[in-house]
Amino acid sequence: MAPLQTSQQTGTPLSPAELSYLHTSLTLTPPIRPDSRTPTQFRPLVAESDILPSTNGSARMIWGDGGECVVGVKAEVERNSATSVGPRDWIEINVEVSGQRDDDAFLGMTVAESLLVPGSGVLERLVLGERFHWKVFVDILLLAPPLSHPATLLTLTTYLALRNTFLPKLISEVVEDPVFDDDWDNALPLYPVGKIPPPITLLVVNVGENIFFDPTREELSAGDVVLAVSICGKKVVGVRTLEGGSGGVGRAVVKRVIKESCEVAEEVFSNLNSVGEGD
Amino acid sequence: MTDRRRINGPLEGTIPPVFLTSSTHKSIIKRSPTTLRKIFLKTGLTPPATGSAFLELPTPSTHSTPTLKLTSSVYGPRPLPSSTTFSSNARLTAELKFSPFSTPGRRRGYIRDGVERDLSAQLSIALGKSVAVGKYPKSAIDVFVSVLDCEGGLGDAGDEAGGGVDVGLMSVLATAISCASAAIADAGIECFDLVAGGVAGLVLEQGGVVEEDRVEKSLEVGQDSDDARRGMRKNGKVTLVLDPSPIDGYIILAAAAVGYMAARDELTLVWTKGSMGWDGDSTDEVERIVDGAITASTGVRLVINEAVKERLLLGLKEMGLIRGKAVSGDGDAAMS
Amino acid sequence: MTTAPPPSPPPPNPLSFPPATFQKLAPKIFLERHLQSTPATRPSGRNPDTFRTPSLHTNSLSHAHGSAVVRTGDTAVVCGVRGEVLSLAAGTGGRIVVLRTGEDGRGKNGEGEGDEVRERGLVVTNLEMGTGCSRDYHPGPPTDFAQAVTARLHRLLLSNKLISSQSLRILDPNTEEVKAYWVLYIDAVVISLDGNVLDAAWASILAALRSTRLPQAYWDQDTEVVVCYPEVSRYKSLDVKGLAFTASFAVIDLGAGKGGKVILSDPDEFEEGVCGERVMVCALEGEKVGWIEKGGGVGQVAEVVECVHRATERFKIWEQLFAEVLGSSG
Repeated sequence: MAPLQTSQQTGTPLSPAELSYLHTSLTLTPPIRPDSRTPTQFRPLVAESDILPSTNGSARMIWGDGGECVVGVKAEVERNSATSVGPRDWIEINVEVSGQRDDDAFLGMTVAESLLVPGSGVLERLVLGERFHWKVFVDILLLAPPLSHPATLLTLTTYLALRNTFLPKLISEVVEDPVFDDDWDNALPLYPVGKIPPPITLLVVNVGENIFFDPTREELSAGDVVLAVSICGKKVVGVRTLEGGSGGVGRAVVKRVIKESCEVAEEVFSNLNSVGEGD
Repeated sequence: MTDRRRINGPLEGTIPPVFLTSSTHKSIIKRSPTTLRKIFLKTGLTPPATGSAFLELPTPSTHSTPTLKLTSSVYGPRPLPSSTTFSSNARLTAELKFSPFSTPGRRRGYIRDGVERDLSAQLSIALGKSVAVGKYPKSAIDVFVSVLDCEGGLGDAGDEAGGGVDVGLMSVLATAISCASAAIADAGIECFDLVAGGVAGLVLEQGGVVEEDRVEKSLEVGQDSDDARRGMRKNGKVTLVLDPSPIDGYIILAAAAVGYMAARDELTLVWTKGSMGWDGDSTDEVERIVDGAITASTGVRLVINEAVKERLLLGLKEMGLIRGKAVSGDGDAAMS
Repeated sequence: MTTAPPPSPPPPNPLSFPPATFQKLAPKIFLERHLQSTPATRPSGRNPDTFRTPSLHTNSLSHAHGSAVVRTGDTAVVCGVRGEVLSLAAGTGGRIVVLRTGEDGRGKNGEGEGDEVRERGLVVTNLEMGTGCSRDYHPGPPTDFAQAVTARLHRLLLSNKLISSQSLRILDPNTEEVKAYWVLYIDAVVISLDGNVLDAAWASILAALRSTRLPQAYWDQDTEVVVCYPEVSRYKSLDVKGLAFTASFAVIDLGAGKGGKVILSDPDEFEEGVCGERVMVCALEGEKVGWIEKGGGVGQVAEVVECVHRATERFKIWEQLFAEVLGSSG
């Protein structure tokens, strides 16, 4: 169904006629995107890791449309508290958006939910003997919010930062107070190669029969449904529906979106892992 | 941060009672994985509102097990405040709030927290796509949902229900969608279709019975828990459970909540969570839980239909358009 | 309401309105006309001295220690009581606690002791109206009205001395020393509002308190924390002393010769909006009066006396309802 009105929440400057035009061109086979990208093509971006020397891991990413995101990861030693039951609060995620968008709670939840996937094995790596554990603070700073939805930018930067996070090696016994090796070369990665990597979230918009990755703001408002698919390795660990679009979608569409996301994610992972190897 | 507009507790701070044995044994009601729990849904319990509904799950409730109870009221379409810009569509906003006494563990504060804002946003997406917003230009439709009682499993720090995916928030959202949709119908607001919420999850099962000690084991986080999980995966069987409850004691590997419009066979909301703890084909797994959640919501839809129909007949009878016995009396008897 | 206007022929006189329109355009005259008819009838069909029939259900919430739902007409309030522990040993954070009596607040003779409930703030009452209960209340910080009602409820609760400090103390089993207190969080949530929220909220608070059962707690000397027994059979009910019920009235002056002043019992939202003069009487057991509030206009003493009479009648209805639902009043 063609969206007759602009989506109120995304507040696009498009008139109903422009929106209808965009919708039609996106439903064509093959579809025509306004910036002539292919459906699975991402906009160019600049990424670098290990930019903040005083953190355990950090990354910065600059998006083509002006979005800029910096993530810093810091770890502290904390005593296991008696009252807290689970290790749920061992990783604390804080999303700060300059210019304060109202939906940062939603963003924070999306990141936290996928990062704290049960069974990913991260929390087990934070245990320090019997009485202590690492407390990891992930501070996500969105310096310049992109014109489109910031979820992808945010999670890609977080992925990069976490991949480059190292924790000092524990040299004390399990029952003792923790003592660490002061040689940074011996530090252990938070996400070792071969174990389950941190998750990323891809934004996918569906228009008619077509599926588009990395949508712009205009494409978001012309879409039938906008899904944020969180992928960890080769597994889909979370799907969320975002604002935008009108009316519902058939279940076949949702399934196709999820399937294609998995394929695209694989490519994204391999590209992200090559960041930092070049320089 | 004290709230000056309310009466606050002692400054020293208070803690919820700590019990001698860690957790009281929950009675697990045997329910087959594909059986949905019974729902009590009644519209029109908040007469000052344009439309309202009350939902209770499961019903009839026993005293020992927690229930999910929520009320929903809808106001509108009413004019947008003059300060807002022109809108050719109705603006639908949804607010979900947990009552201070609704959750296990710590008492919930009055100020909206991240979880509530997140659920509110998802609720307004699920409902907004079902309402014919184009029919009501320059107007606002406000949906309020108050959770009076819930089953836990909300993923709060210190929540007892742990291990696997927290399904509590999902079932709160799904029932909130169903309840609010009934309230929207009660308000007489034009919709494409009614939305029903449904939840399904994949659980690890062993010979038809979920083993208690396995549940305990997965709660511990230690070096060996990863291996323990791997071990039990070998002899465990993964089963799809419709309408899982946090008190059932399952280890939920993946769960989905959907907002589903049955008459159009369309989804307005998809929310899935999965855990990494087992290997299976990823996309198949997601498809399975989404399909399961749709099945669950189809069952809920029948209840919404009945509640809306009941209300409609009552309204027609009040106007003297049809004759016959009154369909129902005062509905608040169900709160007992 | 969803009911559409009945299909009626267009009015013959263009200057006559259907009642609902008249009510909106000229609320005061609408109410006056109703009350001037014989016998005087309110727009809701009630007589001026008729209260709405209350209904009560208790203990329907699973995570509260006590709870109640009260519905009078279209006003419905859910109240939940939850106990949390205030530990005296956990340190007061360097703060000096000044008790008003100058003592430790614990009388040795048991009864009539220092009022720890008030001094330490052991009872926390709140009323939430931002639940979509009515058109005018939105989520967010409480409105002035909600704050005012909360303050009145809190004051009523403290001044009637319904909760004894004794039942909130947690002792060291060896030395009988007070080590901690129970703090009662009383949260009343209005789920539907059609006037007179005070009476319904108060009744729900009282019923919730009477249905409250707190776990049995003691001070564990070894771990220096308060521990509770999990067995439900060891839960103790609160020692709530006596009963007290509020009755609210709105007064309208029809003018000399037209009926004079009319006292409306248990006003609904529309009547509250029209009438400025208010009376609230808190009736106690044995035809006693605990609290009278009167404001918004000048009235005869006889007017207040009439309100007190009606309040004592109302007390009996509530008392009977409480006895039916909660068992015999202790």
